[in-house]
Amino acid sequence: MNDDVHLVEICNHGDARDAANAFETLYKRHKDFVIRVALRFVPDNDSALDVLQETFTYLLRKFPPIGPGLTLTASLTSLLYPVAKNSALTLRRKSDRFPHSDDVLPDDLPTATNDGASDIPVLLRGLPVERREVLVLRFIDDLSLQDIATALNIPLGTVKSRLHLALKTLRESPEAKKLLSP
Amino acid sequence: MTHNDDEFEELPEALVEALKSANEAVPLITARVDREVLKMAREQFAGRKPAWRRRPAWAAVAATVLITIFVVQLDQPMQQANLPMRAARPADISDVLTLARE
Repeated sequence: MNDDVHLVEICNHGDARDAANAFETLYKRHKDFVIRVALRFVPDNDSALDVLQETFTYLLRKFPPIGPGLTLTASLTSLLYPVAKNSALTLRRKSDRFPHSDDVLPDDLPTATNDGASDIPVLLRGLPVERREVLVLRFIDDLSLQDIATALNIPLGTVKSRLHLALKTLRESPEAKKLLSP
Repeated sequence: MTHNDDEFEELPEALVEALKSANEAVPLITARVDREVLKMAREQFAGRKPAWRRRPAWAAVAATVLITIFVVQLDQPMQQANLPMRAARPADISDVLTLARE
């Protein structure tokens, strides 16, 4: 995160070349995360790429001369997550290609290729959306609990509670037990 | 509901790996998006002056402050020397001796 803070500072105050280079580094560092988040909400690559572009356009506009500048108080991923998620959901609602849904996470999660993990998407689909989202952010995206709270704009205690319940379900599930058995 | 923070770190590695592989993003060709995003960034930042061109303004301000301080300090001894003569009282021997010392 500290390195991101430094790069953001260069984007805020650096000259043309340094700022562009710093932004490029931020983009290359976080674009996979944004694509991964986008693909949880939109079903095709083209839409995910649109989300990627919109998310980084949003970030870019935070910096002068268009924006007032950005001060990072949490990790950059916790800032990018809600932008990517909202962008994807907006795209999803606008497009006639996708069925409308109040569920914030699509049911068509990518299926795994190996046998051991093939039950996991089924297991995840069985979790309530809010718990699934926290679980995915914690163990797939490796966000800290505080960053998850920031990204979802919810109290830290709520994050812990949702994760606790998600883990409990996961540990007790037959799919997980099958996966963990020798 | 209270939770021990450690429990959030405890998930068997096999399960974490399975979760990750289940959510693995498929490889994407993003060259076009890469180009467009980075082009936008270059265009937005293009108007910014290089650091060396922004320095002279600060250097000029700093130089002006230093010169002002120097001039004021040069002027101070003369003012001190003139003080007795400008005082609203008749000159006396102490004023003469002060001037003589200067």
